[in-house]
Amino acid sequence: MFAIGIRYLCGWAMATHPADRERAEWPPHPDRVFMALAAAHFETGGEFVEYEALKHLSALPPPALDASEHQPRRPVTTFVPVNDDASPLDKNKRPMMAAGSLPIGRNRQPRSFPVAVPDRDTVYLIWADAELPEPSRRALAALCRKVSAVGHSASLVQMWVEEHPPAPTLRPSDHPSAPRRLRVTDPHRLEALQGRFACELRPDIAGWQGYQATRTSEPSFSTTGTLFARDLIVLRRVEGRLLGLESTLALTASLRNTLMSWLRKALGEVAPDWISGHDGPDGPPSQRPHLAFLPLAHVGHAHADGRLLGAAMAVPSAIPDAEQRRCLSSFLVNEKGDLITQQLTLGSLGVWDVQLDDREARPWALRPETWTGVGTGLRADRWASVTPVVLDRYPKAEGDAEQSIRQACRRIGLPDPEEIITTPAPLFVGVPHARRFPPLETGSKGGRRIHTHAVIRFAGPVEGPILIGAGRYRGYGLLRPWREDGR
Amino acid sequence: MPEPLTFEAVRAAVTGTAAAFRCVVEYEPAGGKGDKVFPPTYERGDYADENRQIDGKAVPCVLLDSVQSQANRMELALLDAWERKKIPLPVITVDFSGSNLPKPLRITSLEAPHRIADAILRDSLLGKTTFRKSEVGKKLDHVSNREATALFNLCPTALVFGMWDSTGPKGGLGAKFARALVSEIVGVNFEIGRKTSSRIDPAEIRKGAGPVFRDADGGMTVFEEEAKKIKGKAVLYGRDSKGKEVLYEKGKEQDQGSPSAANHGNVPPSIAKGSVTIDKAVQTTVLSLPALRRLRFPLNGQGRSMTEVDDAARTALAALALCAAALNQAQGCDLRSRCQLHPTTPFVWQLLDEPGATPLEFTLRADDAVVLFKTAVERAKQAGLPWLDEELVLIPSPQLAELVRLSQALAAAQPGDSEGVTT
Repeated sequence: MFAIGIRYLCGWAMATHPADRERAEWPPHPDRVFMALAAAHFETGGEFVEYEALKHLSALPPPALDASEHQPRRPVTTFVPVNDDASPLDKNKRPMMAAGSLPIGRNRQPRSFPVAVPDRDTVYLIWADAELPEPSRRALAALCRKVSAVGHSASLVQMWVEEHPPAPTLRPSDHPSAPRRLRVTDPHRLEALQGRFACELRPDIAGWQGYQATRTSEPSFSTTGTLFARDLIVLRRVEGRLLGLESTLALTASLRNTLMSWLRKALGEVAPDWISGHDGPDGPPSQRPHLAFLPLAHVGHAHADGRLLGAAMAVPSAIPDAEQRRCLSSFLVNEKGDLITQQLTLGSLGVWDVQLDDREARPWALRPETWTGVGTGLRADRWASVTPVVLDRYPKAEGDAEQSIRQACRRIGLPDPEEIITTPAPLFVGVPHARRFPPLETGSKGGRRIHTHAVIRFAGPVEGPILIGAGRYRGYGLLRPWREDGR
Repeated sequence: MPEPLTFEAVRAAVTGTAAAFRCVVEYEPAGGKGDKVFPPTYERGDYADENRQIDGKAVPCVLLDSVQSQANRMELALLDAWERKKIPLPVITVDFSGSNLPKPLRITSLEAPHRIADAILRDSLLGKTTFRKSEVGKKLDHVSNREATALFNLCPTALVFGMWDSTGPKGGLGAKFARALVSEIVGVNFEIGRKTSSRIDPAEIRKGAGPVFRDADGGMTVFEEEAKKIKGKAVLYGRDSKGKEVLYEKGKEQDQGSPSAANHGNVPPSIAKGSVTIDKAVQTTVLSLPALRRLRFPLNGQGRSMTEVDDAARTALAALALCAAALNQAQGCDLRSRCQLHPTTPFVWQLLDEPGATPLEFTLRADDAVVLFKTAVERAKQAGLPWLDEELVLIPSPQLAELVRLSQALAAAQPGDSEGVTT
């Protein structure tokens, strides 16, 4: 076991995320750290034993990381003086303003320098199961001391080989729901970098690896969950018009159809039952739990407007990881680990481009914790509907609706609720009134189901995602932890 | 108890394994705690703010002086000390005094944004030869981390603050030197305040006293018959938003004819979001020693450098960096209008070496930094390193001189862009 420690001496990291020029990269991707080490080696004409250490390092499996959370500095545009033209006049022959230390004007071009301010200034890259031969270890230690910056040249660091690193906060994960993705090396990375340098080209982008936050402890037994796994697969809208929660059914239907045709094309087979929701290719609707599609909307904040920011897939926990990877990974990322943009056709609502969301800083609606109540510090014993709950049958008598909802909770593995209140009015800021949602049409007779908003109180905290009622696989009956102020 | 930093301590740090010298200083507004200060504004009037975790809480902080701005200030502090003959420093100056400019002008390698690689120096002449084609300038064509001697000789600040020779003979692949010194000032726990603008005209000129016209010399007149005429119509004093002249049309409401276009008259008070109050400001300055150790200084055209020569050069560069930071600190922290800061903690430099170990601490006053730097330069010269002692003076090319002359003339003729408001 060994680790590389990196301390950001100015208290911040200035490095641009490869997928977005306006975004700061945090934590430093293992490939970026590798490139800094390689640069230090080549720029100092280091000895061959350093080269061998680098080769060895690049061939190791992706490291775990210990890195704190961070806050981005507000991205601003800096105007940087050019150097190809000394003229103090602009293209209209008007004088430009003197600025900085220069007493005459100069053409300035916009640049951005994204900065991440981490809560802790030290990061560790940890290879728990790997060993380096002793000469390589010594050479790597010497090489680390030669690195002055990781990222922009102003992003000064101190780097060293650490024998006793702390426990990691991020671990590599191949699960399709892995919420973070970082660039990592491969055994040929060093030669690839040398080759590009020799051709006077900048480095290309390395392959991506999924990462998952380390769970600090196993879920406590006093928190019950549902039959859905808490690791939602989050897809965010990249392109397409703004839609509200009323478009839920259209969105989830399109996502489901797109996934099914992808599976036919990519795997050359009909989608398995746990995705199609049917027993067999032409069979009746399945009684067993299957993949659910849910809308992710901006609700519950003071100015929330209910706009859809994306959609998620909730997989039943019973489906083995390997099967999830087999079916879903190729829908989300290609062989190199780059994100795939999927196009969802929504009829008259246009087309949406969606992509797996791997950003560390993302809107609340796109974070799994918002919908599972895990790790938010909230005592999630009260939940309310974001999309209305579809009742199993028409409520004839008083209490029928509540009874239907009670059964719906039990059906997905939740304990019996203590209290259920049904109402057509929305419970969260930004959620539309129940009657604004198009009804779910089911059955060959085209019957329409009744739906209603609801607030549900359990005896103790429960863990989401909570999808109940007849529309639960299509995004209706989606609940969110609720506080009385509607947030 | 921190000791004063000595030349030997700097040399030991540079030749050893330490990672950096770091100095963290706290300031408060010169007007006292709780007074308003003005951070730099960016597009849309934004401040560059962020949240930092301090003692377990998210504290809003705002950038008060950026890395680039601090670097400019440090170079100007060095220039000031050199002009007062306090420090030896290679300086290349482009002297415009023979160019018939309305305002006298000299631009040095410490003021040019890209230092010795700047386009102004490139467009200037040493004697009759273009600077980069002269004997002296040609030395810069082949500089690199492994052959930094010519830069040490002609512009050592480029090795401290960074340089990219992007328009030299190799174009975009030209020599690139990463900076070794980074400094930044951040305001801690800030709250946005409000700023007011207004002006009371002592001459009490009112809007109805207009229209004011522009005469043929560009001056102001209230008499239509004295105004410059285009197609028989008088030209108003103010210009439109595109900078074009506007013709007078009687009876039409035209702001360009208002006395305020000539900076007369009252400006009604307005209140806008602006300025911040802070608990304190923190300046963090870091000198990276690995960045200096990357540089090599072969002498006399030899391929390989000698260790003792490299050590002497790197020590001199470290001393130069520390001297720049100390001189900047000594000049006080007057960042911009209404943003003056006063230090509340001493200037203590930490030497960061083994991770986790307690760093050694040193004090460094500006006067001592100057002595330390002069010692380091002497030792470097004794080791055989070249050092430009005399100012190297270039004259601008005729084309550049003409562009600057035109720019100064146009700037003088334009109406001021502020309305003479007080804030």
